[in-house]
Formats: sequence, structure tokens, C-alpha cells
Amino acid sequence: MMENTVGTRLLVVDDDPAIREMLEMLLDSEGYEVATATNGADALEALPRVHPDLILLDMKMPVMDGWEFMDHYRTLPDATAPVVVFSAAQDTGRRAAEVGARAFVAKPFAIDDLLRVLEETAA
Amino acid sequence: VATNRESLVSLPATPRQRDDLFRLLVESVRDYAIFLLDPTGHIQTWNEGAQRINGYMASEIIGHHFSIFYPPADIKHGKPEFELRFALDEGRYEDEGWRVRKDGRRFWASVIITPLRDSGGELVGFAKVTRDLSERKIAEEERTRLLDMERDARAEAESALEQLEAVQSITEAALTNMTLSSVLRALLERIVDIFSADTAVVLLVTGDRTALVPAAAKALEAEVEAGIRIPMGHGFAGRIAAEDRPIALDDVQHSEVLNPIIREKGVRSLLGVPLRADSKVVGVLHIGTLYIRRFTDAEVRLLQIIADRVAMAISHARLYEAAQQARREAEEAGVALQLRDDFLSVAAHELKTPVTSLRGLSEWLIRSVDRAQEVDPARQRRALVMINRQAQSLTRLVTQLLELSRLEAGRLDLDLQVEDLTTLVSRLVDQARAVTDQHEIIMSAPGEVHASIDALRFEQVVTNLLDNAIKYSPDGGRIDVTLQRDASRHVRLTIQDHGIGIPPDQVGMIFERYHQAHADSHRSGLGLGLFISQQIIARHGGRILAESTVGSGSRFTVEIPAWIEPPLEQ
Repeated sequence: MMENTVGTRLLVVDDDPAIREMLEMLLDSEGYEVATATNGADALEALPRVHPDLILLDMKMPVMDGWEFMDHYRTLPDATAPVVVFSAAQDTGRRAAEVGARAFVAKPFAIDDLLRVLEETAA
Repeated sequence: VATNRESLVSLPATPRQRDDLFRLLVESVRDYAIFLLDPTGHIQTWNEGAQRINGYMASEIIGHHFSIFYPPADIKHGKPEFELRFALDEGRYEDEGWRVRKDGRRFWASVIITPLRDSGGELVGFAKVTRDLSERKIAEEERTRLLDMERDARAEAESALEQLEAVQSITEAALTNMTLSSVLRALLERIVDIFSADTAVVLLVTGDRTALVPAAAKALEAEVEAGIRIPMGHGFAGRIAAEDRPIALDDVQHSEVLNPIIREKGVRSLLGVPLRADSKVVGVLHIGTLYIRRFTDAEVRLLQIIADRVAMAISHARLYEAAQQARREAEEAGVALQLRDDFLSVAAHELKTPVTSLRGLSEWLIRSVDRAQEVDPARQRRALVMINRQAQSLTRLVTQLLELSRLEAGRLDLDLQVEDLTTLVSRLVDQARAVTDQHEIIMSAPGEVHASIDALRFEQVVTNLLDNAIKYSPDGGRIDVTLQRDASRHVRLTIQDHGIGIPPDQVGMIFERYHQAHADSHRSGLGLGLFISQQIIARHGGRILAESTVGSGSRFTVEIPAWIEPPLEQ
């Protein structure tokens, strides 16, 4: 458990319930405070309540996808939390750059890689 | 008048003197043959003109019968005797005709024969006056010949022009139509016109060159529809193709025509020519008439000239069609390739999703064991349940992919058993209820309904439809599952939801491979579910239908043949 991540508030945005639940368990045991949202719209709604330090964002989602979420998010005055794009697409890196995300993690991932990226991004 | 009278006055006075003078006149006339015949036609007198025109001296000819001047054919037909008789009956005979000179040469003679009678009315002989009109006759004949030549030349020019126009109209038709069938139709239309024929047919040699099949017909369309095959070398068309030459049949009734449709139609005369391309016979063109007609050599030649253009048009049309076909195939291959690429990218994404959870959860469990971390046993169990579920989901996806490849290879075999659908569907509905608490699934069935099905495959279809009904009514609501047996011995299963529905432009495509009606807004798996379901139902001898209204839900209907109890044997 990394001491410097303890208490970091993380918002996981993904439409797949299994992935949300898996990340909740995993990141909770690493000391993160994890909140979840099922799509972009859901995430925008959760922002004032969660005040995340970091956002882990899936791109392909129903209702509001990652691109649209980013369009909205960037206009918010207190949108200070860095975004890590989290996608199963072949070109996750390019997508992340497109929407102005700080970093990216390709699905499926190794836990160590995910944790390292999150830690680096939050720092 | 006074002058004439004065000159007459100077003539000799006595009759005797006048007769001598007259004889002198007659004898010295050079332009006319003037002589006397006795009542039987023997020559009595001769003059200068007669000697000049007929070639005989008086001493040679006097006493001979006048038929000596006639050609043998006239003598044979009794012309000389006829002329004398006619002169006797009518008082005069006048004629123009060929006569023969002493040296055998013919000349064109103008002849007048007059009977001579004495004062008592008794016939004493005939006067014959002959003029040589050969030069006039030759000039006349020359003129006629020139006129005939001119007329022939004009007719030839006109017919050449007509042929040229005919060939031109054929060429135009060949150029303005692209596909083989439209080219042939247009050409036959014109050919029938050009020849004033009643029928026209184009037959093409088959790929293996063993037969001819009609490709287009005018007024004999039934021939094309009947799909008749004429063996090479047999019958009218078969011989034209095998012998590579035109054949004309003046009367079909007395000829070897294999095609019964030609006889039924009442065709009497036929003219056919080979169609040649690259010095190979590729078919036969024939025209026909409902009356007996003798086709002229010129018509045979014209039809062959036209046939050469028809053959060229056929080659062009075939090339064009081959090019079109190649382009279409290339396009289809391109589309198929694109679909395949898109599908692979969707499939990769869909497979990665459960793998992401599997890997995350299993690594998390390994980590907690390695660190000897205190983990809530309930959470551990939850992680294992999720691993199990994701593994199942992955299995489903892989199964679908395998089924797709089986379907594409035509290797989806059914294991058919008679089953009660009510039991089967009820069980699946119970399973569906277990995964949702938002939806009210209501099932109605009339007791047992039997059908011959592959239970596993049929379950797969029903599960797929129930999953869709749940997935596409995200706000919950009622889902009606109805099983019926209709009068037409079909079992009908309908699954009606009240969800988001399918846009009208998508309803027609949802059963297509890889199609995702809601690709942008809802995760819809591989886009294979309905495609596979439809294929499974089709292999059961049934069908699957979709009706939908955007915003008020979709209804899927599966129809398969009901099991009919065989009659009990007594």
C-alpha cells in the first residue's frame, strides 16, 4: 500500500458493471477512496459530490461517451482533477491525447501498471 | 396543184406504156423489197430492193417459197402460212420480225402482205413489201439495254443504300445497349424490320460447345423461356453452327427442325446464319416468316453481314458484363473486408472487456494472498463469483465466434428432438427474471406445445431475445412472452418489450451479420446474436420477425413448425 495514495479520491467512469466493481475492490484495498459512474453524464453529475482528485475514464459508453464528457469537463471552472483514459481500443494513447487526458491505461491491464500510472498522475 | 396536174399530163398515154413504166419503178426501188407471190406463196417477181435486203439474185429466188426468209422456229410454227391466211381474211397483214438473209444473217424486217385479186375477185397472188429496220431495231434495243442497265444500277444503288442503312441501324443498336440481353433485344427488333420477317432468334453456343441455347427472341419469346437446348450438329440451328454456313429452309414442314415452338408458332420459312467471333462460331441468328418465302442470295449475304455485327455486339456486351461483374465483386469484396475489419475490432473490444475484469480480479486475489493481507471473506467470494461470471461471458462470446465460423462454412448441425416448448421457455423466463429486478416478465402459454427442435440452439435463441428485451428497455417495464400454436400448424413465440425500440431504418438490417442497431449508444456485443438466432430458426424450418416503434418497444416473433402427432397404428 502506497502511503501517498491513501485518501486520494478517485472517480471510476465505466459502463461495464464488472469492471467498476473490480476496480472498486482493487483500488479500495490500495487505499483509494473510490466512487463510480456508469457514463459521462452520470460522472458530470457525481463531480460536485465526489470532488475527485483523479478520474479514470472509459471512452466507449452509452448515453454520454468519454469524448463528450471531456468536452463538458474542460469547460468546468474547478476541473482540476487529471484524467486517465482507460480503454480497450487499439489506440488508447492517441485517444487520450485527443481529449487532453494526462495519461492512459489500456484494457486489460496489469495491476502494477495501473497503480503506477495512477500514482504518477495524482502526484 | 396546177403544177402536179401539168406533170401528170406528161405521163405516157397508153395502159401498156404505163405498166412498163410502173414495172421499171418497182424494179428500181432500192429501199424496199417488193415482190409478188403466187396464191401458194411462191416468189414470182424480184426487185433491186429485194436483192439488196435479202441477198438473193432474181434468178436464184424466183419460184422458191417465201418461207425461205423466215427463221426455223417461225417456219416450225407455221408463221408464213398464217401470214398469208391472215392477209386473205383481213385484206392485209402487217408485222415486224426477224427474217433471214441468204448469208444466214438476220435482219429486222417490217413486212406488209396484201392479197391481189383480178377483176372477177379471184385470188391471183400476194404483194409483199419488206423494209429492213435492223439499224432502227438495234438502236432501239441498245436504248432499251441502256435503260435497263440504268434501272438496274439505280436499283442496286438503292438496295446498297438500304443495306447500308440496315447495317448502320444494327451498329447503332449494338453500340447504344450495354448488357447482353438489351443488345440482343434491340438488334432482333431491327432485324425483323429490315427483312420484313415475322420471327428472329439468337442462339448462343454453350460453354462446353455441345449445344445452343436461345438467348433472345422476337415473336418466339417462349423459346427463350423454355430453355431449349439444341445439340450441335443437329436440327436447323445445330447444323448452321456445326457447319459454319448459312442455311435457308423454304418450308419448315418438310425439314428437320428440332424446336417444336417454331412449328407451333406456324413458321414456314427460315434463314439462319452463324455468329462468328474470333473466327469461332459463338451462336446462330435466324429469321423466319409465317408464309413460304424464298430468301434471295442478297438477303443471305445481308443477314451474314448483320450477323457479324451482332457477334461483335455480343463480344462487347460480354466483355462489358464481365467488367461490371468484376467491379461488383471487387466492391463486394471490399465491403466484406471492411465489415470483417470492423467486426474484428468490435470483437477484440468485446473480448477485452471480460478479460479486463478477469485479470484485475485474479491479480488482486493473488496480491492479497502474497501479502497475507486481511481480506473480507465475503469480498473474496464476490471476486471469485465475478471471475466465474466473466469466464462464462467470455465463453459465450467465443461460442458465438465459433458459431459464426460454422454458419459461414455451412456446418451448423441440429440435434432435433421433440420437446415441450412451454417447459423450455418457462425455465428461460425464470432465468431472465433472476438477472433483473427492474423488469416484469409475464409468460403466457396454452399448456404443452410440442415441436421438433435442437433444445440447446433453441434456448440460445430465446435467451438472446430475452437478453435483448432486458438490455433495450433500460428503464425497466413489462416484457410479455407469449407462446401460441396457430391454425396453420405453427408454433409462435412472441417477446414484446416496452423499451427504446429500433429506428425504422434499422429494423430491416438487424438480422444481418455484425449489425448493431445501437452501436453508438448501447453496448451490443458482437452484433451476432440476432444473425445467429435467425440462422438457427431458419434451420428449424421457421422464421424470425421483428417489429418495432422507437420509444415504445420491440416485438420479436419466432415461428417454427409444430410437432404433429403421427396417427396411432392400429
